[in-house]
Amino acid sequence: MNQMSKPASKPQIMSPMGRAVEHDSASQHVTGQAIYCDDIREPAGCLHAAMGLGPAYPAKIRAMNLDAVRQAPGVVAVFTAADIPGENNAGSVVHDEPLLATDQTSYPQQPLFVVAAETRDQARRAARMATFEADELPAAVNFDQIVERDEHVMPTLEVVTGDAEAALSKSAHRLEGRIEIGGQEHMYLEGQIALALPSPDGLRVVSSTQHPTEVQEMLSHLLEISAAEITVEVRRMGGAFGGKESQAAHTAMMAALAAYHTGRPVKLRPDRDDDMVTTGKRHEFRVDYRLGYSDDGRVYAGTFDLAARCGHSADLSAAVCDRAVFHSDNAYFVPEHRITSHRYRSNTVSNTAYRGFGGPQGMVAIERAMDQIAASLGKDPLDVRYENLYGRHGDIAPYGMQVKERVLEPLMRQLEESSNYRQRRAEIETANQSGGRYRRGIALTPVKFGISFTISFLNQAGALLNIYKDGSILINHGGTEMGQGLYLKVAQVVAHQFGVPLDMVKISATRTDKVPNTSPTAASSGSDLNGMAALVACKTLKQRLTQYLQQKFDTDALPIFKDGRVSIGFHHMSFPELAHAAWFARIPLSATGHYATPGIGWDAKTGKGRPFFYFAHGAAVSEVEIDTLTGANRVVRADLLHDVGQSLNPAIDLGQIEGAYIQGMGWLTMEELVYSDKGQLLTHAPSTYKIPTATDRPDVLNIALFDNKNPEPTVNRSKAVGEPPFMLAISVHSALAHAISGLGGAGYWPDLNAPATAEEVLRCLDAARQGA
Amino acid sequence: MRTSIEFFYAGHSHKLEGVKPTDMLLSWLRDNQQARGTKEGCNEGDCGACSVVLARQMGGKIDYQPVNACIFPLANLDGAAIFSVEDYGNRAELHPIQKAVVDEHGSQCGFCTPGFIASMVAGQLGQVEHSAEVQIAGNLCRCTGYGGLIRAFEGQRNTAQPAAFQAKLDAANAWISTAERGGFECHSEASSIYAPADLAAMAALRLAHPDALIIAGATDVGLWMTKGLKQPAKVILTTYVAELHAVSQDTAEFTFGAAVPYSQVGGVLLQDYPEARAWFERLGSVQVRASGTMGGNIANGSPIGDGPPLLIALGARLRLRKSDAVREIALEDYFVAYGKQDLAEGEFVEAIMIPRRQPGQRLMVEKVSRRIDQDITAVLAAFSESDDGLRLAFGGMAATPKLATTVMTSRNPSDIGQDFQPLTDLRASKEYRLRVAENLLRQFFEQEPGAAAQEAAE
Repeated sequence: MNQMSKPASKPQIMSPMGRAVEHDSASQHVTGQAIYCDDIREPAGCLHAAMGLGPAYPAKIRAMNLDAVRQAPGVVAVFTAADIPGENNAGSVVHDEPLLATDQTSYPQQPLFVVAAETRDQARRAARMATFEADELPAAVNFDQIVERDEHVMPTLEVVTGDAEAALSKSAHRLEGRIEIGGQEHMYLEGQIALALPSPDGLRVVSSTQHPTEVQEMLSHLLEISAAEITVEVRRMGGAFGGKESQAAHTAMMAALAAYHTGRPVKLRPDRDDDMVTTGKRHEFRVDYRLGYSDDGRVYAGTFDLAARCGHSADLSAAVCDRAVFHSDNAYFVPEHRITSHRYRSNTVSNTAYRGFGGPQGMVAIERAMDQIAASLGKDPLDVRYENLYGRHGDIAPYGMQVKERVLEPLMRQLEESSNYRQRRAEIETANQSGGRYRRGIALTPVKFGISFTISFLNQAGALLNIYKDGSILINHGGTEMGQGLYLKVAQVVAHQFGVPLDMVKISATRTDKVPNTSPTAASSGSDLNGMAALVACKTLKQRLTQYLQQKFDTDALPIFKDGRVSIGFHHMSFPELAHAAWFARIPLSATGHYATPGIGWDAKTGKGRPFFYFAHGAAVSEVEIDTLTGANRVVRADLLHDVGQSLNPAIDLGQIEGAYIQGMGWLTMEELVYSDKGQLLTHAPSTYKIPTATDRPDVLNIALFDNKNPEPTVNRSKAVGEPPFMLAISVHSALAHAISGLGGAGYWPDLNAPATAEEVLRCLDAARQGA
Repeated sequence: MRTSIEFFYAGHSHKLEGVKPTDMLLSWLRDNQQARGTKEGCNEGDCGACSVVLARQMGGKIDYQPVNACIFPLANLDGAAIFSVEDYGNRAELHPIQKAVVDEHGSQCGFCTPGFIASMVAGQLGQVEHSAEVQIAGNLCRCTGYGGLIRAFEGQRNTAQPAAFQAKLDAANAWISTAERGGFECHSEASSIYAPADLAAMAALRLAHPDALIIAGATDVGLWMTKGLKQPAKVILTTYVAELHAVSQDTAEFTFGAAVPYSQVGGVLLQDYPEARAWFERLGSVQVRASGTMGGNIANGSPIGDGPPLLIALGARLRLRKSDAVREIALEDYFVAYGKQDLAEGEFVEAIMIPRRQPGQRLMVEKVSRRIDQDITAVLAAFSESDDGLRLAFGGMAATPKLATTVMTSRNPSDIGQDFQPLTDLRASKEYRLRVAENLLRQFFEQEPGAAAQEAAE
């Protein structure tokens, strides 16, 4: 009877706004009662689907023999592109990617068919029984190959301010460099999954997706049925990180295709390896950069060429690469600058959204450059960073937006002090001089991250608010819950508005039939957008209740909603009493809310405008240790200080910061995607693709929130937190380079790429030893 | 002969007929029992989302361990009990570990959480002495940075079990104490499982079925089935063979039966070789060490098994049995070539003998991998020097675990290329492997005698 029992401890906090309330599902998580898509009891007759994958190389498919698949035990049906009633398209922005490939696969193991069988095991076995007559096509995989072939999935973006070449030639010092930055697998613990439930009224799909509206739309085009006949639902995801923004639709579409034809419920949960092979990852980047600077380390000019490996199709690559451009300055003013972004096609799976969305890749290069400037001038890199922060010598970003807030310098000064950065750096440099097997390094790096979808029309959200006769409140919005605590934060906003305890506000699954036409829960925008939409709905209902109360008690006074009670003049009642009375007086107790971020927009042709509503900031000090014999490395201590504005929930925000830092650390150190020369992913499971475990967490990890309020009118003056702290981990990469640099003599800085695996670190150590 | 297996779960015993080698515990829990709190994350024993608590008779007492249910064959559960997240507590009365995870904000998306709870509850029950980090290193969380989870375990590691869960534990213990373990055969249309209970039966079965696949903890063979979709027709389990679980020691050597899980090895071996602690704690995860056996790790013949290089460096020998005939060979001689071992038809690994430490013996063990914990080794180096001579063993450098015989003679690390021509693969390049091997050899030769032991003690 566990499911019926009450939670053990429910906070009875009267105004939960800004409080460190536990995740609304925490007690369900720990007892295993939180239901994910795969945990829903399958309806009778439910079929299980599996993807049929193509050859291990890009191929011209001359013939596909599926007889053995069809005849395999338990198989009910097999579907190819020919069975798609509508459009065979899986590309959400550009229709350049088939859901099921036909006569050609453009990356290894691209899906060609879908099997539906009585059991999942039968479907998996059958899916491997296909044979192909196929001719191998040439594969462009690494940067040299894709640049040489020079095919682009989307047009190049160039952002120019001033005359970079002229300014470079006038600079006292110039440096140039190249850094390769690896991709990253999302490794959401819950893999891609969808359950399609057909009925005569249409189709209901439970999908682990960040973007239910897009799944609905893609299904509509696939099956040629209207959006109104399709409901997409998601209560929670077991992690997403961007990996379920555009590409969750693929799983849902395959399940729905099988359900459409068989008339039976169909579940598709690809095995982890199939998931990793067929879904995109963080984009790999290669950045060629030049900077001109003065004797005191002030940067006057730069050129950054950002080459991105996008995979075989566009997917979200344009927006990802735009964001990389917008963050290639990170926190630094470069008065004359030219940033170029090429979006290369490759014969690999189509890369997609991943926490930070190109921003992290953009930032890594300029942080390396800051270190190089400092090394060349014999300065502490922190001083070079301070010297170039926006606000010191200018505050207009290359894309034309003014960087108004002056948060980073005080934030970094505070962190420098609290982490005892200067003294520790001096001690490390002294210790490293005495040699030994292990060396340490330390770095303090900042993050400035722009908040808003750079695709401006996505910056809108809707909410549906119902107050029931008993005073309980149900809030729905377009945002999805993937562990980030969005449902909780929005519930906190609503509870605060009505002055009721948090447990009177219920949150239910995100569904396209409740709140339509929503944007993905992405770009860290979840609580900014949906919190405001909910707030608008709250205000509508509060307005109605206020009018009702004013009429009833014949007063102009404003009611006060507090501590579960409502007071107007000398009249008091409980919130449930008010709800019941208002219903009885025929006041509508349901309202929608809609919010659109004001004042943003930019010109994609020139790359100029105001793409962001505001910036979130943070800084981190990481101290690392490297083994000079093997290159093995670990973070021994990290101090993080981050700006979330005025926090909606410090516990949730601290959790986001910690998790983002560790995930970023993994990206820049141990997480290495290895592809064959045909473009086949070789690290296709957690046995070979390694994300951080508990032992990789720094021995000391201090995390604090910077005291700030968002100058822009966001909900509670808070700031977005999902992505920005990911880039705090760039300090790890910089610290590793610092540890290596000492072996190279004065002025030396290693060309450490990312990820800084043990092998990469040892390569740089050897280069440093030779260079010294 | 029994044709069923029986184990204890959710308050009573479950008797299953016709069990197949491919029947894994996780599918049984989720699909048969509809106990869906335990999740599948990777289906290969790497993420720990499917962790459950196993209680089994081991060395005269009940041994509690977390195991990865996704690759745990049901056939290995005979006479044991399992507990899943549905057992420890409920929302009205959370288990202290569950409450601590809530209070410490240790869950975000929550998908991995039941697996973490299992590892932590098992750690409590097993009264482990190692850090929380080691106890949960076999569980991946992609959302948090593990802080809340670590604090939850450290705060509750010595807390008593709540009454409701203790009652379940007591009931399971009572059942286990009288349960049979092994001595069954399960036949289905497609497969046969033989589960002998003693060495004589094992030897006879091996002789009668030389084509059968021997399965121990299935931490590797499990993946052949869940990932490779192999359906072995004939299987012999070592799991219940009493003699293969024997651990003994005398002044000359330690002897481990082939079916002794790694979790039982550390406490014995590390007494003499404390330098191997990191090796032990980085060998798989708690879950993998609870299921995986030293014998399986060797018999499997993998070039990258973490056990063999250290054991070879220590001069370990293997006892091989065919029927009544027993022979002993040096461990390094067992590995003939990739996929080929010195094992006759009808023969199997019975025990591993490891010499005790000699006075003045120096030992260095280094594992090089992309991640510290639970990662497949790129290079494993194990060096020992004693009055018996110098032994330099490597894994990951060749098609088999091997001694660097040239360097053992020349004592020149630069000669490593004469001993090994490693491959480039997804874990490391050949150049890196050679470079690391050379660096580690140089370190060993340059190190002061006794320094290694001192470093390990720190």
